[in-house]
Amino acid sequence: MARPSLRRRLLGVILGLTALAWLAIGVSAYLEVRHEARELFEEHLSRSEARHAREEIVEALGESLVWPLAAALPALALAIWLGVGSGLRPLRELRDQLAQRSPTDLAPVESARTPAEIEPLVAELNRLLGRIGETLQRERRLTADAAHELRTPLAVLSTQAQVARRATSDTARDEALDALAAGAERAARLIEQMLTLARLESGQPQGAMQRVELRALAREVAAELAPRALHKHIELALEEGPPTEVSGHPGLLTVLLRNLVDNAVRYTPAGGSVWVGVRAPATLEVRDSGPGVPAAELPRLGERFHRLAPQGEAGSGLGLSIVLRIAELHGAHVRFGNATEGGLAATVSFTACR
Amino acid sequence: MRVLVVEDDPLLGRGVQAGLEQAGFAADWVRDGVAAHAALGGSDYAAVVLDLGLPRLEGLELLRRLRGAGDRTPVLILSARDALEDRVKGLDAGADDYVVKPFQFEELAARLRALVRRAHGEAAPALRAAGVTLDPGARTVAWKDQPVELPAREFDVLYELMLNAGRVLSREQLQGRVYRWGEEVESNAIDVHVHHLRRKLAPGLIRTIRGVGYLVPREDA
Repeated sequence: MARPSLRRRLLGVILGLTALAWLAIGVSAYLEVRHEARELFEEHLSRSEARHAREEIVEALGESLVWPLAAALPALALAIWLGVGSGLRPLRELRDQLAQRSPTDLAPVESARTPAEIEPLVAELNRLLGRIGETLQRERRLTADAAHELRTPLAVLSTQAQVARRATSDTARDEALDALAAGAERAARLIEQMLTLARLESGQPQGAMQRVELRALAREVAAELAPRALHKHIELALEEGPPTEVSGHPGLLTVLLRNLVDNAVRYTPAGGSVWVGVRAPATLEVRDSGPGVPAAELPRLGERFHRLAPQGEAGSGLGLSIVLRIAELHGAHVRFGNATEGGLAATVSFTACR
Repeated sequence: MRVLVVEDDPLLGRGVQAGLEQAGFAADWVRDGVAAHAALGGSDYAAVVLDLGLPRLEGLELLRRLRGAGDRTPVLILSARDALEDRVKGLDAGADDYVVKPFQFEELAARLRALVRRAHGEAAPALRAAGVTLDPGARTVAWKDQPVELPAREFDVLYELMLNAGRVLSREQLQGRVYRWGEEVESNAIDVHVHHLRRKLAPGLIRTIRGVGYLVPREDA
């Protein structure tokens, strides 16, 4: 079906109404004249003469009404056609302007000559273009960051491989090969984290939500990371709290808590402590005795590739982004603050299952 | 030739240092901008290999400060950021060259040699004085067109003297440009190197300026 055309519709409505009005005037004039003529003629003329005279008058009346209409309607139609066309010209210009654009040109649409009726549409379009521009800018920055993050471990591999190839002593070669292996491990971890985040970003995770017991989750993650903490001479303590069930994806929640605890262990110096616990209502908490985070930096935690510490000590720069994304998928709220013990305190608040 | 490597990533920093050492440079390595600033204030470097995105003092900021204070040490930015915008920003902040990671050491070393050459106003890659020809890229020396084998440090001393032909370099200056931090250096090491160089090459090549240091006269002088 053809789209309704503004021009055709206006033409139809105006011409129709005009014709109707004309018709009504004609009919009422005809009835009036007939009535008056009958009264007048029947007094003075014979029956047949009266009918003849009446018919002549009506005929003349009809002609004088029909001909102007017949002439006026096409003229009116032409005027409407042209008027609407010129009224819609700014829209056509807008269309041409948009059609000629390259897909990367997100500059606001020129709206100086747009009629008042269309101006809000153009303003809204420009706002949308602005928002798309911001999103693109962010994506571009993210791509540049990702490129940087991927090139650095590659540079480590390439550099150490070149050093190993040219090493003149066994110790130098072994040193370079060890660094090469460490670099490969780091690259693997980074790629793993990037893939995890990409999968999380691309939509809803597979599988249904289940009831997850937070205390059991905390126990499981603490047990998993205890050896690493021990190796770094960090005390990893479990503060169990009340039994709490939330609805979630068990695998993803494990990743969330593991990232938080892993971060705490990574940034806490030897001899320090990390606490993992559950609190009412439905909150996971991870605190450490590390150096903490300056208040000004707290809001930037979780930004992709944003690191506080020098590179190398740090992980992929994606751990907290993953935490935030998993929390978002669960409708949970993540807060970062500084713990009374001095280090970072991260809390994840869920809606509890009844 | 002594260079400063500024790189916060430990695996990469150590690698760049080791690779440059293999290519014949004496490389010191620091991990942040503040340490780099201090190192440049205290020692005489032929060039700096600078990473961007450094902790404490950002690479570009360090560069601006150095150039603002009139430091002319050639700086080569070695960064994983390859965007046009980043490269332009780096060069406009005062860098002399920009290399994107990952890189090949042959190229990095050649670019550093080119930067040093330019900084000394030289056009030809090989240095010549009193019949001695020194090729910094190949690290070879010839006297009267006959190749002469030189140990690494003797080559470095000769390179510094020939690069600065016409200028007197003190023992301390030579030592600072040839050895990196933490290297065991005998107090008369430079004198010994010069002694050996004189024996192996033209005796009149290196002059002693008593109480000041050593000098290789300019070819055209």
